[in-house]
Amino acid sequence: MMVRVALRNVMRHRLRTAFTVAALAIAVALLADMLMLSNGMEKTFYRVLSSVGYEVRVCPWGTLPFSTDAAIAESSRVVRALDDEPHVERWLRVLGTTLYSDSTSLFAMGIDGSEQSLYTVTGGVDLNAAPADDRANVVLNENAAEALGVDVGDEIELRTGVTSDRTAFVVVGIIALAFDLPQQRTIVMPMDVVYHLRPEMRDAASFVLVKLKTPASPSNSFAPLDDQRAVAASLAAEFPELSVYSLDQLMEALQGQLAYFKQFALVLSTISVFITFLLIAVVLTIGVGERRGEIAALRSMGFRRASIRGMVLAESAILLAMGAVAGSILGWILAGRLDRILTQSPSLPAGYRFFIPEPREIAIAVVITAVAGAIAALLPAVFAARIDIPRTLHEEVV
Amino acid sequence: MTGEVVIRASQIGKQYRVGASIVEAVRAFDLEVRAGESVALMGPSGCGKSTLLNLFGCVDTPTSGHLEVFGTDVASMNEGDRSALRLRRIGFVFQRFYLLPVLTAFENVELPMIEARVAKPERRTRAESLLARMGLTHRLHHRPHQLSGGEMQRVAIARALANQPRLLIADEPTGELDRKTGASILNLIHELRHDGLAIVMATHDAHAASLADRVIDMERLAA
Repeated sequence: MMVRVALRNVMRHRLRTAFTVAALAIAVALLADMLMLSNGMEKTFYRVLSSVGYEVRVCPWGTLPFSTDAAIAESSRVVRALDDEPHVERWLRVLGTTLYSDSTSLFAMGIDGSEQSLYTVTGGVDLNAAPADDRANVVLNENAAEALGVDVGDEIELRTGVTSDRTAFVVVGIIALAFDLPQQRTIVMPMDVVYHLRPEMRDAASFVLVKLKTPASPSNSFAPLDDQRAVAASLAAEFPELSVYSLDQLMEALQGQLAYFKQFALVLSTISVFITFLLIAVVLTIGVGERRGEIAALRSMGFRRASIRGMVLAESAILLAMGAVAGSILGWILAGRLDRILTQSPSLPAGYRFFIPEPREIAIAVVITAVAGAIAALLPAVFAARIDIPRTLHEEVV
Repeated sequence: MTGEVVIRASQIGKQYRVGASIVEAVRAFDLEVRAGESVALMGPSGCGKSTLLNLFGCVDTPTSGHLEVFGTDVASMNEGDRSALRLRRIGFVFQRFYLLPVLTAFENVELPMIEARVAKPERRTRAESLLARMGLTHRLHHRPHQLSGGEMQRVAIARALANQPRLLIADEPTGELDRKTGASILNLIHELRHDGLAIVMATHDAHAASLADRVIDMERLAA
């Protein structure tokens, strides 16, 4: 019955309740979205890193893959060391540069390795699966194929600079790369070809990807973290002028770059929790204040303090439940909208996400809000339960 | 009077601290009320009527003297014990009714029984019977704002009787009612003593007080 009384008390002032629930919904949605923001980019990074299937990355000192134009000068030394490393199954050397057609510029990647999982072939075949003539084989992404107006089997001519000589290539495949920016035109070719086009970059690599042996596991699963760290540590010791990352170290380095977003999310999350706390405390304090006479009468009739506390806490729970339902829906919708806005940024890889709507984040937001609301309700609940009966009844009559 | 002693007050007093000063609301008051007896405390505002009702109703404790309600020393009871005693053995009727506006007449009467953990079928039977006795069978599912002042006070009396108390405390029960309605409410209250209830009522109305078995003039006592 006290729950029924609480429910009807909440519905007594419909407009006040509507505003309160709306504000609570916004607080829950904000908190859920900030949790999603905090975790969304991290999850995206891990998903993308996982999708290419390499556990160790060797980069120029202090850089992450393609974060700068810096290159490893003598990459053949690195790959020789990798060949001698018993845990290494295969490696992929990658060098990025820019090439030009008559109409557009392309981000070109030279790759060198026995087998690659950096990209997936969506049309045609991979570089080494097609017979080569005097023209080098290339694969390119949809954006590049569209910009150049070519398809599998077509020939394209590219230059290293506006005034350089043209070199002819044959398109053997269309590919999709996880790290591509939305508008990026990417072309991939054998490393030797890039070295031929850019002799000044001979033996250089932007980074080297390393796949470790994973005994008794499918080839695309990861080696144990200890093995990753051991190989990374061994390479780092051998090449102190380079940065070597295992997957967890790379995630840690990326998280460092996300610190701004995390702090932003933490500040807004804290604000939303405080809003919930204050909102519940204010609304319930007003509600209890308005009903002091009723509460004093109930107490004088013998209602236990626990019953009165329960009634006020039930009111808080009802408000929070309504706010949680509305906030969950709002948070889910808002996360999708915000994600669409932010992922339209041209400087962000196409597969990246800021907000990943997930029930877990919604549930955590609801639980945190519920705890904040319950704590906020304690003070008015205790105030109501400990009301001075004679004085209150006297004041009410006077 | 031969009924059991419900209230035995001997030399009770109540002092309040108001800021730096002490206010003596009740001083050396003696009273014995037995089952089936009605007592009216009469006097103007501020003479200590409500303070005495709070003491007799175990809402408050005396600062001096000795007060027994149902044979138990009120000063020896903790808050929980006094709450339990109020819930099960004392009924309260207030000047301002204090019905919960969000509940119907039936639910208002049922509420104290829920607190006392009375079984649902028994609650239903009692609530319907009490409201029928108050002439409110047709108002069971009306909310307080849909009732007249007299009807609200009848619901409040039914609520006070819900847990079958042995003592009824009524503080200015006709204070918010017109004379005619007030008279019918007073008759209703005083009839209850035939059920064996002890009734203690505070009033400033001499006519209301005259219906009681005993009238205690608080103003004269204070003098």
